[in-house]
Amino acid sequence: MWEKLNQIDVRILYVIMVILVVFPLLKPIGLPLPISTQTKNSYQAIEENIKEGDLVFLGVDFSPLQEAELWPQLVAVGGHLANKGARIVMLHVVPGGFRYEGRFADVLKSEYGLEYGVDFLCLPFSAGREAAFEAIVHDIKGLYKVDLYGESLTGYPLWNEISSAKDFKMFVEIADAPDWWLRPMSQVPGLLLWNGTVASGASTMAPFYQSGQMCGFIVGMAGGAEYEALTGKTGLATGAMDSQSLGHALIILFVVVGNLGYYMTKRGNASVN
Amino acid sequence: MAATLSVWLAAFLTLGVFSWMYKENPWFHFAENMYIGASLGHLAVTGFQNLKEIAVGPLVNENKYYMLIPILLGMLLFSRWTDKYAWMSRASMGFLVGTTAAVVMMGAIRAQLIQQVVATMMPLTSINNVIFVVLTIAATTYFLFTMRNKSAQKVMDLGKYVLMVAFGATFGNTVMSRISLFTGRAQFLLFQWLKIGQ
Repeated sequence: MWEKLNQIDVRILYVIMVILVVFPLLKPIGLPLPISTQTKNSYQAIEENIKEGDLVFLGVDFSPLQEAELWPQLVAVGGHLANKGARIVMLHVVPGGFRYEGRFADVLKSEYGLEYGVDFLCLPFSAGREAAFEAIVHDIKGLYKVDLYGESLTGYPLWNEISSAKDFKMFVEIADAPDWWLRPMSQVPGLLLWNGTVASGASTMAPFYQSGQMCGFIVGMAGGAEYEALTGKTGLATGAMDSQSLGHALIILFVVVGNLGYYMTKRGNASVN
Repeated sequence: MAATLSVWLAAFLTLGVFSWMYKENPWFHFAENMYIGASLGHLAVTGFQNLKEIAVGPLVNENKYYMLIPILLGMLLFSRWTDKYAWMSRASMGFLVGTTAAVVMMGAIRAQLIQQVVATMMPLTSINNVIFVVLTIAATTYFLFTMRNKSAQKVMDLGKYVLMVAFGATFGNTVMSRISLFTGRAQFLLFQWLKIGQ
């Protein structure tokens, strides 16, 4: 019987996975979504530290590959910052980030009524990743001359109030597990660091949260869903949680059955020998 | 109209990639090559734009003649394509490696070494803290490859199991990421392309 497990057509497993992921999207099951202490603490970090008028960097450093996990996080966390009255300066050092910066700018204008140039700004792509962040830390005015749309930054009241990175209260980075942003930004005295990352990057960034170098840290689509629940605005991440849970349950089943099959087959071969 | 076309194109390419699950086929290869081509095209345009804005623009419009140095160093990198002149790229590579190391080193020593070591120095007043410190030391000891002491070997073995647990957690997180990727695509196909659900 266990040998037959090895002969199952893998396409059958794919079909089962597709059904389990797609079905809850069409007919939500409503599985409970407990909110982790980490996400609650991350929410509180913004709730307690950000006051009206505080300047906040919002790093939008992800490409379409990470959109499913990070776009809901961006909308939830960015919306929280907007509700707190923070003045948001968005930037990106990953080529694909411009798309999401522009999209979120539309969200800030339409859903939160923020005024571009006064309440928030979109900065253009800056090459060099860590080198770009070093330039932001040491000379942000020298690095950026125009905004995301090619207009001169000197025409915006918000930009004219900024003299350096030290004017900012918090740096919120929504990105796939890079620690290259944390190394330069941790040099700015008094700047709080907050990170939303993909699930596969959790193990890279978790030590920085555990050591207290970051005040907030949420992970993956689940982190986005938990944050949506805390802000009271459900979105794509919450709708996907049933699919996520069933998908994980299936993977666990496959791993258990697979290992059991391997062990039983090996034992069978040993007894034959 | 453009939005509808882009949704249909994205759906066509998404389903093309998923068709690999049945078997390799021309549809999948077309989607794969489109992705590679589009990524490279985007990279080329971004690179050209960077060159224009950061180097050539200031050189021509603001008379910043020192921009010739990085432009020349960048061009020398292409000499690697020829065997005869490949040696000319060593200066550029050296500059790249040196500056990257310098930039990274500044932050790495503070943020990734000192701060992490300080965070491990916690009072051994709770069972959590004791476990944390012991397992961190065990995991770090695993990497002392020159040690052959028997008692240290036991600590190294514990470190090995700690690393296995950590890799297992990383694997679990990676699975979560991959399921999220598929869920995101499924949401796109259902809600944006077929307009059913939500």
